[in-house]
Amino acid sequence: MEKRSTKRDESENARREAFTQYWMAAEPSVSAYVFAVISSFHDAEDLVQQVAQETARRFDQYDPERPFLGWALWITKSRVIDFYRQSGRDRLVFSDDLLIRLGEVIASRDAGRNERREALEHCLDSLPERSRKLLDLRYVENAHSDRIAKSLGSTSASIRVTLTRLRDRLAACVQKRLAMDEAR
Amino acid sequence: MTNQQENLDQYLNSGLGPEDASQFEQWLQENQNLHLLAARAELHTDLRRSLQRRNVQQEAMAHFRDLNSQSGETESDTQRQAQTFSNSASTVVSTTNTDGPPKKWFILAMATAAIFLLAFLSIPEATSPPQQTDASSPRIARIAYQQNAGWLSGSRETGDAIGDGVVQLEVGIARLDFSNGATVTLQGPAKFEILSADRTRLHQGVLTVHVPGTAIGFEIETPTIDVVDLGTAFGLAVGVDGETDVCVFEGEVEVSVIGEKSNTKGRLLHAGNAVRSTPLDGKIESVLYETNRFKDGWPVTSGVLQATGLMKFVSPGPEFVPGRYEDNEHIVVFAERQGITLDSEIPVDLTSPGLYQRIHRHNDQKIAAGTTVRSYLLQLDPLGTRERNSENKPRVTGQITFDKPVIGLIASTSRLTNTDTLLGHPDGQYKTARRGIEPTRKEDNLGIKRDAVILSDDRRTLSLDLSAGSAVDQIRVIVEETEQKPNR
Repeated sequence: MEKRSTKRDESENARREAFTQYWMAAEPSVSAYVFAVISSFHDAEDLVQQVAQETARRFDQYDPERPFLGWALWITKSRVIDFYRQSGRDRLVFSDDLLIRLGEVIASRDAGRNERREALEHCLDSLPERSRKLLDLRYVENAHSDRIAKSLGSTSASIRVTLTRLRDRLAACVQKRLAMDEAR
Repeated sequence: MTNQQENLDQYLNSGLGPEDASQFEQWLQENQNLHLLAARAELHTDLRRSLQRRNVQQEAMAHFRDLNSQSGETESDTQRQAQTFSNSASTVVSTTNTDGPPKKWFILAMATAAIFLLAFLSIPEATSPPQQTDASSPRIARIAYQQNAGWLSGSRETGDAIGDGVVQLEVGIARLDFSNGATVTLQGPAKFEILSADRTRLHQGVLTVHVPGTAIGFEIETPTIDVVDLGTAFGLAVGVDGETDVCVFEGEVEVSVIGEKSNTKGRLLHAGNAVRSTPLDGKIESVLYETNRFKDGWPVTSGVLQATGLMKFVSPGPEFVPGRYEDNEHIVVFAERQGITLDSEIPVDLTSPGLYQRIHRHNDQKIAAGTTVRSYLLQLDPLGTRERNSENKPRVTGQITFDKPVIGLIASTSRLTNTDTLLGHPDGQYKTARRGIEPTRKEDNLGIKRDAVILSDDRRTLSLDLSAGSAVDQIRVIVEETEQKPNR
């Protein structure tokens, strides 16, 4: 394919690059917000993808004087409400006010977001193989506790408790690593 | 604490029933509990991303090892190649990490975000890596429309020919019109491969497709299933893990688990059906029919490039047809028929560009026999009925842009009724009571701002500025649909 280089293309490229930078920085927090309110990975990831598209499409409306994350979360909130409305789930756990407050809490946690993700990578490295396998079943293969229980010959309740303990351990490990980093 | 975390995990994994939901909402009123939820959701999404990425990397490493054992390359070559893969996936984010030299694993963590945006661009394919499409391939499709489209391979122009190979749309929307008449709209980020004129593959992303009678048998593969179109419209979504959703809007499709198509008969899905298939599961399961993710691409597939103001293109599906669906907040746009060749001329109310204060009935306006057309219905009825007798009626404004020129508008009751069979939606329920223009209204003589209907000079954009309670309830828009040209 022949590449055409025009002024329009250049400014479009600059715009796209600016958007990409903003989106990459905001996306982990947008994801956390969506995962907090939509339980299916597939639906949540679809919705994050929709938010990416909408923020890209409406990027001209973004005021660079204000935080991009706040703007992206504002758009996310509307898409979440649409999602619940359109999927026929009229009983939304989150009222409008609660969705706004959740956005504020997620935005307030944005500062240490990358450090926590970085620490989690270390913590995952130190997990025993069996625990890793269990997490893989849940997070890579998207299997729920009853299916995992069947494949491992355990009970659903036991798998749920084990997964919660694993997450607690990982959360504690992340906190410990961050405290160690601060002490250095 | 752990009990709380267990409940939080339960909610994050499966949602809650109505009773638990109410208690949970109460619990979340405390700010510290909202922080607990945010922290757990963060962990949840990070685990999903990180473990998925690690898995992909392991597979990529194993793949390189397999390839190298065939070609006799050394282990260090393998590591170098895998490193190249990691680096290329992270180039977009490397500029954001300014704290000293970037750490390999941190780049890899960030690379998941790049993968999200760039749609697995660096993941090597199995035995036959897909080729990027280029101009030397025979033309199979062309880019018919783009909206904020960013392509991995650089700039592409509307009208560009696309041959076989991979196209990767990073952001935006792009519609590909195939020579056989199939129309595919991609929503970025998407990785789509054209294998032949009637066989394609969606590696990742979201698309909507319309397949006319000329292209029955059009096939789209995904990492988990084959979808064969039996003359229809449907939406397809493939997640980063290969999980595939199929949602049938009209007609029928046949789906089968990948690799099993030749052995077993596929499963037939009808309009309003939706299924999901997860990698390694080997199963196709029915899921809730949900079209939200297709709402950006579907109008474009249907020939509506933009709808602004109160104009709203209706969701796809058997329940969203004239007579069954009403929306009292919008001017609803229904796609009715496609590819109808007129046996005889049909009288219409308006054919020329310009500003009209009423869509008058003109007896000499006709669309000639032999013209191939597509039709849409714009419905204002519920809004009109509700506001008709109130004072201070609000204005109802909206604009719609079609991909082809409008060659006729019909807004009179008799002409609407006369064309329902030929141009109305096959499943539509059309009423015979007054639908179009009412006789001259008293308000017209009182200097009240009158309705305006504008058809642009290129005849592709229709603007409406009506009072709620306007005489106009429904407008049928007839668009010229050119014959499909043979494959060049």
